[in-house]
Amino acid sequence: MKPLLKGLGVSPGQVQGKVRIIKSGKKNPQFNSGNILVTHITDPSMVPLMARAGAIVCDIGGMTSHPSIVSRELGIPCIVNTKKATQVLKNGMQVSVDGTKGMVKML
Amino acid sequence: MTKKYPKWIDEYANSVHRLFKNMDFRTLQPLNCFQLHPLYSDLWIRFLFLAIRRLKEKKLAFNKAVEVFPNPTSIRAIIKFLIPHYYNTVLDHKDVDPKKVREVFNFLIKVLKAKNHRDIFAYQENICHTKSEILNIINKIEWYEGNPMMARALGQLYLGASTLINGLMNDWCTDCGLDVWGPYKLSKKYGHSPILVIRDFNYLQPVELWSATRGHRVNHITVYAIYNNVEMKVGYFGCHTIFKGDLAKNLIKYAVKVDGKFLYKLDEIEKLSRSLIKLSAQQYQRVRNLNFEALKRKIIQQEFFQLKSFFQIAGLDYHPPSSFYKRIKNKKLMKGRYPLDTQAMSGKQIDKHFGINTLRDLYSK
Repeated sequence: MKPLLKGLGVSPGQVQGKVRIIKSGKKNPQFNSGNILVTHITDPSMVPLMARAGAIVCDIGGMTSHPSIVSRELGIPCIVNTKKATQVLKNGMQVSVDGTKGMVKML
Repeated sequence: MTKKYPKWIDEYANSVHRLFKNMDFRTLQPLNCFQLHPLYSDLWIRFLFLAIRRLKEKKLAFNKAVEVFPNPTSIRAIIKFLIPHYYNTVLDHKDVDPKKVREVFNFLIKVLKAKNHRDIFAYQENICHTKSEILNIINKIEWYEGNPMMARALGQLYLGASTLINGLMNDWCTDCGLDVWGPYKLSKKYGHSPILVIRDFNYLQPVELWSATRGHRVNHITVYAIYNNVEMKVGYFGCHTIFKGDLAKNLIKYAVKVDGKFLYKLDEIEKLSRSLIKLSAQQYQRVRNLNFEALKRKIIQQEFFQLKSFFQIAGLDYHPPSSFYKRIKNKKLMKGRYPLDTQAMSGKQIDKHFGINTLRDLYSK
């Protein structure tokens, strides 16, 4: 299956989950444990969500950006520099995130 | 041809080429300091020179001076920004004496060499302990058996503590309160290829910068972890760790020290992580609530705060002088000087655009 998105895989592993698009500073967004956190770039306001995320996908970022470092420590897959994750992915989509290959696929 | 500049500049350049390759400048918060620094670069260099001169006049033993400096990554961060600071003074034709600038760089490099035992710009690793210090840590700490659940809890602890530090010190001075040391190779009694990694979070309560942290219950956390079959690389900054291998499956032993007291129970560590995660979100809100003028002032205060003990021992106030505030008041950021939106710059481009060539020239004069 052709991937929906490609980016830089910065924390390995493969998980499946439901997309939640999160905007910076949004108070108490709906977010369940194992959801895929999709955002432009993570910031500390999202830390409570990152702690419960199944994987993280960002529009921008590098190997040593905040989401990349933290995902490796948490042991969850992470893809950065997808350029358009927040445009292509929609809330509620069921996707597979491959942090090793840097690919997001629709399920 | 013999190079006229010291060897450390090429070592620095190699490390920074890799650092920039792995970074995305667009992600740095809360504003881009490369664009703020040109407003006061000459003042910062002169202040550092004054502090070093005062320290030398006091004839304090060098090893005593080294003790008051922050962790090695923080010194590397200060050097990394000092080079563009100097570049700014050249571009803006500021009257800064090259001899004095060299004296500042030479002093900071000497301190860094005293703190870092090899690979001073952390091209691959961040080795800040001697073999005997590591042996001491291994033998004196009471180690507990690692397991995947505990490894995940330590990951959550890293998330909470590192993000809180990041909010307290901003992306540009984070290293003042966070360093990751290692990998320290250990004997085979722990497995096939065991390493010790030490994650250190200090200054979780910088009351001088943020009075609200007076209520924080924790100031200093150190996480000791022994992994097997895990590769670790560090890229310039201690917190820029890249691991290969599964941290959860391969955590062999661990110990967590919080303000001098060891914690081992899963529920205690999880409770601490939850509290830090909550504090980090609150702290970020405080940063977001600052207006642009207050944010610029805070960034200068954070830059000074990194060297608080050094300035104090030199007999100087660690609060920025009013001349710094005057320089930034009602001034816009200087956008366009640094190619911060360009990704995948070549080494030559980095050398040119981030002051490394200018630094080489400084030593060739």
